Amino acid sequence: MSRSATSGAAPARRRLGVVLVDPLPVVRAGLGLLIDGSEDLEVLSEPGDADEALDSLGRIRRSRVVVLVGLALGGSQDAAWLIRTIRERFPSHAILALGADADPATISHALFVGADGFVDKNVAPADFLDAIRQSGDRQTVLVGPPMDTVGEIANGIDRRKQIELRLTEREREVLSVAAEGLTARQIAGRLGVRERTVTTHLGRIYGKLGVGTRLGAIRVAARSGLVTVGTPE
Amino acid sequence: MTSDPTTAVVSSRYAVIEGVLRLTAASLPGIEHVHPVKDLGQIVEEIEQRRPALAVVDLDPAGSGSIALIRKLSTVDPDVVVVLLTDRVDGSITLEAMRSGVRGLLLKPDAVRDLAPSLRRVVSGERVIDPAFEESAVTSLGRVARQARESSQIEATLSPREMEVLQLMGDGLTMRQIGRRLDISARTVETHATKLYRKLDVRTRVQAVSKAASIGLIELT
Repeated sequence: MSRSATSGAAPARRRLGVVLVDPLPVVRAGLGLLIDGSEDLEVLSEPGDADEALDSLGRIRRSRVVVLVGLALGGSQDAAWLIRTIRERFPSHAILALGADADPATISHALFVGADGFVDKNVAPADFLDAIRQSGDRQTVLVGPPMDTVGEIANGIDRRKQIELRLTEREREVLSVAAEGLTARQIAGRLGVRERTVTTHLGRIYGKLGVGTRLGAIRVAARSGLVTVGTPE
Repeated sequence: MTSDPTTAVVSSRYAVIEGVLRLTAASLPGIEHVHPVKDLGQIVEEIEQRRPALAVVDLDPAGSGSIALIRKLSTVDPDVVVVLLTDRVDGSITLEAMRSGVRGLLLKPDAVRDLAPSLRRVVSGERVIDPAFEESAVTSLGRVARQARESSQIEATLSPREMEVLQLMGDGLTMRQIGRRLDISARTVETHATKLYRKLDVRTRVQAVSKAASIGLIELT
């Protein structure tokens, strides 16, 4: 596909480049077609995971692109990890989190770790493209969630920050595994530590979050978007 | 404590607007008493005393105390339905209103003309936010996220003692006063301060306080 060739008098302005990261090939293909179909936007790459995404970004020679990061990206290098990493390594790029019916806590999390905005896959195509353009113009974008949730998202960012400050990285890890409903022994197995260590961590977590039970801790963590209880996204 | 479903409180510094607020509130189903509050500074006390079902407040156009007022209103009583009128599209006011659970945020002058239908929607359980506020609220949200991220990165490197010193600096205390307050020598305060400047990447006390306040690390009173 050649996009650079300009015939005619006025040289066409370079299109705004988009890097589209999503684990699902169908989503990438569909959104890719939509974006390439517009006159002012072009897809530069369609990575399927965090490694590919960073690799691709490292090779792009543009001062500013919009990176769409699908929140469905899971594993140890999940969407939050990727957003944080892009924010650090490529501070001039715009990062737009991409979700489907995401709850406010999930959006809070994405914004807190470094996304410049959120767009829902369920919005009309024209609104979706506008979200990308606005993000390219360095605006904060929130397209899809009802206006009503803005306050809740802001409160979620503060809660998130409180938890980040209070818990160590290891404690957050223990808590997110605990939220899957595992026993202390199973958590220990998963993280490769002793069961006793896990119960010590849990005890500290309860103290820091001001709760008495594991369920209480998970509830606090879920409200802050620290862990996802139930279905992802 | 439950609120009194027959009572509403309204406030505006403009007599004309106050009149409209009073009449409109009185026309709502179930409302029998409407108490006008002349002084915006009295509104919180008035609400605490009367426990109205509804409070309609025209924010001061100068707006300097609006955010503090919204915060106070939100802590009064969750049963009181709060509706705010303003003539300024200001992101931080809008976001604060939305965070605090205000049920209506209406933009003047249209808000005054459409007050009756707006209030009826609010008392029937809807949340009514003028769409004109949307963009500024989202922009503010972006700022909140950035500040939270930056401040948590810095805060993670500060010791509890350094945080205390920083907050007291923000309150305007001298090194000696901070030392007395924390029961440490002025010299020790200086040591904390030096470390703080390095971590905040600033060189003076004023810079430290202004940077800390701008990223929400401390609050200036």
